[in-house]
Amino acid sequence: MASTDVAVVGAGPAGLSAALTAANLGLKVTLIDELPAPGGQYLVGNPAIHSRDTKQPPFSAAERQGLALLGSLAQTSVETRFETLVWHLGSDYEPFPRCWTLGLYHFPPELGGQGGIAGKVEYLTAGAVILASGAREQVVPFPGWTLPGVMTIGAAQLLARRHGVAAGRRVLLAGSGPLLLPAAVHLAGLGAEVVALLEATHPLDWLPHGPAVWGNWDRVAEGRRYLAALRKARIPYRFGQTVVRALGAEGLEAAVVARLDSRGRPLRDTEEQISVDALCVGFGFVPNSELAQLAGASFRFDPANGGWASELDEGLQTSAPGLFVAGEAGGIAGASAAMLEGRLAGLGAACHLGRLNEAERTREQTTSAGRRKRAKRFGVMLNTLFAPPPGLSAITTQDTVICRCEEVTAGEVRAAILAGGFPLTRGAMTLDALKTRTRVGQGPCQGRTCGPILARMLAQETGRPPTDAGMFHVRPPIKPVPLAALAGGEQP
Amino acid sequence: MSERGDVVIIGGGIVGAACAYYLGGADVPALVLERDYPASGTSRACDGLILYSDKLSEAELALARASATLWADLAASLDADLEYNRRGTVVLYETEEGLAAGRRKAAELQLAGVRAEVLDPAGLRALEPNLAPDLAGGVYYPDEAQVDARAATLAMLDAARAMGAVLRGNSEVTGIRLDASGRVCAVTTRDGDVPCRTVVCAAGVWSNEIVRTAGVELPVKPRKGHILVTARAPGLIAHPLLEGSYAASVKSSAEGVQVALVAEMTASDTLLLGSSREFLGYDRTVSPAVVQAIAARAVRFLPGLAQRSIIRSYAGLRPWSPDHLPLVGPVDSVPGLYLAAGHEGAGIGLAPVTGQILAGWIVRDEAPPLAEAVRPGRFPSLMGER
Amino acid sequence: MTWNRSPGACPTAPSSAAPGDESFTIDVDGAAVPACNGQTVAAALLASGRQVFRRTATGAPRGVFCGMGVCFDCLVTVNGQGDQRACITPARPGMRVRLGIAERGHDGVD
Repeated sequence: MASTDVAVVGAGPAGLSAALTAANLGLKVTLIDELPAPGGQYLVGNPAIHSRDTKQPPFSAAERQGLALLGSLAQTSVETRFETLVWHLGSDYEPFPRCWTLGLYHFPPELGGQGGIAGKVEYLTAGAVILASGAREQVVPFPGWTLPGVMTIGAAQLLARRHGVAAGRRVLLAGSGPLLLPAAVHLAGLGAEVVALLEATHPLDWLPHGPAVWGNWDRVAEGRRYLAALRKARIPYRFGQTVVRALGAEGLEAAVVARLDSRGRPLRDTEEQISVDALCVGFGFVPNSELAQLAGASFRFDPANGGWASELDEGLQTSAPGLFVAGEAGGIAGASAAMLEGRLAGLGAACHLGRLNEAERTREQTTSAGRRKRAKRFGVMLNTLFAPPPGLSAITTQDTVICRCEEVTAGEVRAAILAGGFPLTRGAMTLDALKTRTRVGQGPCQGRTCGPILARMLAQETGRPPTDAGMFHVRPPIKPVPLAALAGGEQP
Repeated sequence: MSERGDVVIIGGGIVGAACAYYLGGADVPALVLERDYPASGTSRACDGLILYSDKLSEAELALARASATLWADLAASLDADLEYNRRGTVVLYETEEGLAAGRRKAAELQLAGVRAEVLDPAGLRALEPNLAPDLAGGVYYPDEAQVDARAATLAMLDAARAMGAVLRGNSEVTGIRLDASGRVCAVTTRDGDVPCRTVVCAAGVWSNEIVRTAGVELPVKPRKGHILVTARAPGLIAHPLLEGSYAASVKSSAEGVQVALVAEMTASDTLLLGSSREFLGYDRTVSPAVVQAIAARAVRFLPGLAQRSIIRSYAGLRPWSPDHLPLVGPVDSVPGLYLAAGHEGAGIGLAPVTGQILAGWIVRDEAPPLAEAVRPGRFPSLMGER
Repeated sequence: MTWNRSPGACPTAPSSAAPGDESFTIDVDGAAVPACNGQTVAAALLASGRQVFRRTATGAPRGVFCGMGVCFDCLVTVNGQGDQRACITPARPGMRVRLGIAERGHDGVD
């Protein structure tokens, strides 16, 4: 079985920063990512496209920093394993030190010829593990959201920036949060007609959060650059509005938008139908926490952090010794925070493995911890500011699909909650309980898409706090692995 | 037996549900106390096969047949889709030796009235075209059935509630209180005592701790199993499949993990793949090594599965008993205490007959001849120190 | 419908895995579809105007949703291997892609 000192899962900004930090301290590092190349979801800017497109704002400070990390990766001793899924994370108890075992599956490079031979599973042991698995976008479901042509804002961003492909000819963006801005600008840069940008919240609600801006001037500057680009491209930026319905047969043909009242409920008599072939929606992010759950780390729910996230100490270590989380996987705070956290986690791993003592760690940290606190504060502000207003869930009708994989509707979910047999005084219904009454969470995505949506529905229907719903129970493989890969693979 | 009083059923899994259902049918509305949510224990971690071919004794077989008939009735009469079907199962043999043993087993079962048909490779291929071509043969048991365990548990509970039963989730029972005369007088929960005169312990592997508080020592041990779920694979198999060594793995008490293929398709075209058996205490974590071992057996018999993915897995605890028969009925030394536990891997199959026997005991203080084999009193060690 | 900004001219990704041919074709249900080095199968499909990648068990059309490999909507068959996420599978010269749009309940495996 292969072994390494530090296994870093995820090669986005946090993972790159963590891997480079640990490698620079002389540790053997293995950097693993499902994607074929490093960069994650953030470092999608493609200098080749970018340089040809004079309408695009320049790369932000965080992007430049991230690209520099990317560039230096090849000069380090970091062992990279791309197109590789980490499907299991477990640990063996030894008196000391505790050893982590990762189950890996490398997607076969050519996927074989006729009837393809899949890759085989392997195992990697590590003294320390840094989870930098990032986050995924969350959406408030509405009728027609499963139509081809409806995608997340991040999906549209990725397609536009990394691949030079526009999601559609006439694009509407709706949701909340800062990602709407760059996505709109980059789509327009590709020549798509960006019909409008609909932000569900209202700027007047943002004012009380002003203080968190302190020390995060680069983020503010970035925002202003995108606003200027929006204005230049004449893209309408409307507030207090969102999409309530997507229409089409085989694909998206039109979107129905509406104004929202002060609680976020759509005002039906303001509905307007717009002809579009791409609709990009997103209401913030939730951490990808499956491996931390599998490893038995403790979790805490905090809407300002993106929902459920691992409990971390000052050194970003979870409740499981030697297991660290850096970046969005530990809470939504943006790329700058992610890169700072990667550094802190890398130092933490080195400490855990005895390569650094506490005094040395503090010295190496320099200003990273302080800067990370400031960046985190900004991120928390954004999460709070741009949280989907509670009334917004009214856009989910009884017929709206909630679990995309298994096509379970909101009506079926609500019926299951009512039938559950849990008088409100006695206790909560959990996501796992819903899973016994319906097929939610039983498809290939294992509840990643519907989980946060169901948790909100449960809280609304039962009146209980969102923590009661819990998270879906995670077991290996955390993402699908072919049987042949398991059958013929290395034994743990 | 006149002071039956209020009846509490401990456990909202398939056995507790069946007890509540049959008691409800006899006008005895029970209070079901479930520590988490209905079907949250072993009932959410199992396949739903209703088998004869793995039964090891005449007594077991008689129970299985009675229960299978009840399942067919329930599927027709319950107001929910149990995903029940009776296509029969196929037991697969890799070697001539294995097939010969299979033939003998089939003959025994046929003598007891079970339909069975021995298949040569051509016959096997006709029934299951996607099987590996190098098998020695198989045995087809046309009367074996399957049901969705969770759906069935919830359906019986819902039907019981419609007949007056009450279900309380998040209500863990921590013990059983006896009065001065040694009769059941309450169960203890985190929210306080629930007075009752009759208690049915249907808490599966978690029964031991509970009944110990009443001085009863159960010989039930948790026996861990795994199930893998594949991505949708419509049309890959037409019947649930078991490999020949499955029955032996059920019977064996060996330490170490035993893996024997069981493949069941569900109504959503996914396949449930098992099985594994090992004594590992109350551990329910999924072991990658076992996942790989089950995958290997699956690919051996169904090469077409090689390119399919496992999308998830789970592990559960079968309540194993030393003679492979559950304990169903009164505990003579503790008036008011009844057991309905210890079904090992046959909990789904035997749940209805368990519920029926149990209801008979509680309502009429009597049981049919086939219930004799499952009397708790057959274990003298049951009566521990008090 | 979608299109490449400059069809035929491929951007070179800064960190693409395999340098070499900038542009090539992949076989999608028998048709030759252009793709660029570093592009995913999903990007190439969308650029060629193909939005529907598969159908669910009830026949509903699905395509790209999350774009990052977590939602499992964009499943296609690649070189005989079913259930591949088009949004994270890199397009490679000579790849054969089958979309699951022909029949209801088609599972996409050859």
